[in-house]
Amino acid sequence: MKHEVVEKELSARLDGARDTRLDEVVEEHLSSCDSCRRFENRARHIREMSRLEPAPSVPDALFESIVRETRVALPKRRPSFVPRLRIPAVSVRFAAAFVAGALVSAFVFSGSAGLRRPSPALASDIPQRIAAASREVTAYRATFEITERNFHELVPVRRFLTRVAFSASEKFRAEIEDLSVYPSPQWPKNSTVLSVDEGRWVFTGPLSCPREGLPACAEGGSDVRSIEGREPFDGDAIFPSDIVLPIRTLAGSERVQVVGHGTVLGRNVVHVNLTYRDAVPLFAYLHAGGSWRPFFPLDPVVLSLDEQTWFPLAYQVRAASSQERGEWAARNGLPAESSGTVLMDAQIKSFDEHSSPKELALPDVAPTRNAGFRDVDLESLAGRIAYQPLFPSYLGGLRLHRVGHYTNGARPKDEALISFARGLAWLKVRQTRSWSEPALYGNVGALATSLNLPDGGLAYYEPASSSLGRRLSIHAPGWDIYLESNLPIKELLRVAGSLPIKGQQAPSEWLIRRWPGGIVREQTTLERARQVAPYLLLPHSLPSGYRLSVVHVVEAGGTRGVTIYFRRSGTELDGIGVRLHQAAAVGLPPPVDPGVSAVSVRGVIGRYSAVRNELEWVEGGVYRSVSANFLDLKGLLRIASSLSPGPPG
Amino acid sequence: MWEPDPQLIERARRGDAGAFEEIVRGHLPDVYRLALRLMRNPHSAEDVTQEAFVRAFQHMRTFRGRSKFSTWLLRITRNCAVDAIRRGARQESLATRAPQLPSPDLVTRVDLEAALDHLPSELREAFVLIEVFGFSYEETSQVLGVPSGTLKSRMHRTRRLLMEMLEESENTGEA
Repeated sequence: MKHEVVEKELSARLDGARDTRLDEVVEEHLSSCDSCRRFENRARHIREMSRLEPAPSVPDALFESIVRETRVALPKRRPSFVPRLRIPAVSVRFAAAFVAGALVSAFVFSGSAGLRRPSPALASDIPQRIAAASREVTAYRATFEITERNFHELVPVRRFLTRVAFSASEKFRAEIEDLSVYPSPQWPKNSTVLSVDEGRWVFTGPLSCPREGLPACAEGGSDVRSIEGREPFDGDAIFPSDIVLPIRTLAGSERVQVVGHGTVLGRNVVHVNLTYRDAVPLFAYLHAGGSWRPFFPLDPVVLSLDEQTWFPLAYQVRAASSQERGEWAARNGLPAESSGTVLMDAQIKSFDEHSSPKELALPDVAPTRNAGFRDVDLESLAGRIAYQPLFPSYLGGLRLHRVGHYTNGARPKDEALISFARGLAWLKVRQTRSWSEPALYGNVGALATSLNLPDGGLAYYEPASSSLGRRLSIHAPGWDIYLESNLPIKELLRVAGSLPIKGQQAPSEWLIRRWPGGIVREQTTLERARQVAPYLLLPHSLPSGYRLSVVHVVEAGGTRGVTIYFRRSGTELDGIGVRLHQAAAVGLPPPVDPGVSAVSVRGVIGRYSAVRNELEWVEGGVYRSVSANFLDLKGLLRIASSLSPGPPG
Repeated sequence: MWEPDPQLIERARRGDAGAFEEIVRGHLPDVYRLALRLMRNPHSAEDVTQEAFVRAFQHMRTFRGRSKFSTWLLRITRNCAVDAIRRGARQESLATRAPQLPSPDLVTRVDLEAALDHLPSELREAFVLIEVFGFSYEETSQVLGVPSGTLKSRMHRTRRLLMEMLEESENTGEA
């Protein structure tokens, strides 16, 4: 038989089009033909190279643009997703606030005549414009009216007046006055004050108890937390400045979806749509304490941004629609909230770019905790740490802000912390010459990605989370340096690359985590993982902006498996992203939580845990699980169904 | 590949923009991926993707369910790409774009991209659908409108050509 005929059959077999009539002659030919065997091997290698390619990230603005164009394609049809406006039976003054919010949503979603259409270019520009604006804000004060729905079955509507003030770079105050009418005086008023003044952080509010237990659980009294010795821009004692400028909310890459334009307070605004899970930093000033209704991670939030200053002038949370959303509401003691119901509506009443010391004054309460950070002069720092600290030569326009070190023994004795700021943009550089822990230095963990800095050195990077900025850990001979910032990632890398050291790979033992049940080998490559797990599948459909981040090999109970994390590059608020785990197994392990349901996935029966947002199944002797706390079952199933077989091992 | 359920398709066929939006969300990664593969330029790929969905929306009523919805949609995408190339849309080599995965085989994959750039378009589109998307000959036949037997010959020819080009690049050190 001719080589060409055999090769053609081998090629077709690879594509699943085997001609069984040729089986015998092909096998016989292969047993004596090196050339055809080589063709088969090389064809398999080409397939391996082709299918290892990750799915390209779809530009965020593309979806928005397609939806808009399809609407234009059918101009006479009313889009079915225009929400119907319903005024619930509430008192007249609440109805007025609701109507104001509803009007915003009407022009957000309807795209009616006379409104400017959103521009995709603007959508992609917004993160950069906010980042630029963040450096220019020196002072701010504003008043918002907030309406919250379904806090409690006996308190279906609450109303608040909030006053927010800011002064660059680390002074902030949010005073929330509860104007709600409660059924009896036993219900605590949810009035709170949060103040930050560099090293001091104070919260005062009512002692909170579970929302469902009110009013019986209310004991009276106040929740007073007062911290001194706070380090600059400490994620534990939050500085919730996204209500001033939504840097953390929107400055992550590929995040902005513009849904329309309009006016608020007579100013032009752009309406941006995002999910609650991405908008969490916007609510941090409210949720620092007190009692609030919860929101589902996928509840949509429409944020109205001033087109000149990029200050948020209004925001509105609505109910998402999905079966999981209904189950989540039931678990949280909430009534059935139909899709599109307005759950919270915040409207700005006044704002300007001024603030006074009086508006920013800290409540007069004694400190309840000392976090241990002490500010010192830059001149005296070198004497205290016994070396000359390193400075980046590029600071992205930021200026020296606060300098100091810890005095409570919780950190290396020679650790120095130098911070830089301008407006709302900030950067802190922590460094030590005596790091002895077998792990990366700073708040950078197992999910860090290694990347190259502009100077050619290596650094370990983690995107911003809900409490921490974008982070880099650099290990160099004699130095360990940690940088954290809300600067865009490119700027942060440029700053790190301007340090007078060159980062190198962390010692391999730093990348192995041991626990009683087994070992996790971090930062491995996909190819090495495939050697461990030849059954590995890769997703070809991921939420927009998600890319392969890190691969771990997990050894436990005599078996080895592979965990792959997919994350966004700029911001991953829950710190995890999408997690895919695969390991050889004969059946599903016992469920961790009781609330699991059986689902059909990839032709087998698997299970779904709404509590852990995890989909698990066993197919062909392999246990697989996909989890992401921002995805519902539909989203997890979409990823699961896109998994494709890796090339043969 | 994701397939919308028949009720969702029916709603979209009746002009329900919300249903079509769900379909866009589900198919966008695959349509964009194919467009990027065929156009080899992200900007042109975005244009082709958008045009494909708009065209699909306008012709939803003509979808009779004789093939999978994904096959029908990818056929439209491929036709949009062919039209765009005829109109002179910019193409570029994907081989020059930074790869995203850490891999010891990186050089080979870059070489493969470069070799794919040199393939005639009728070979490249068959290769992308079968090798990258994992389509069967039957599905690929529905997308490209060519018989399965032709695809079998094209795939063999493509593999032979790629092997020769990769071998040459290994010998000369360039793709």
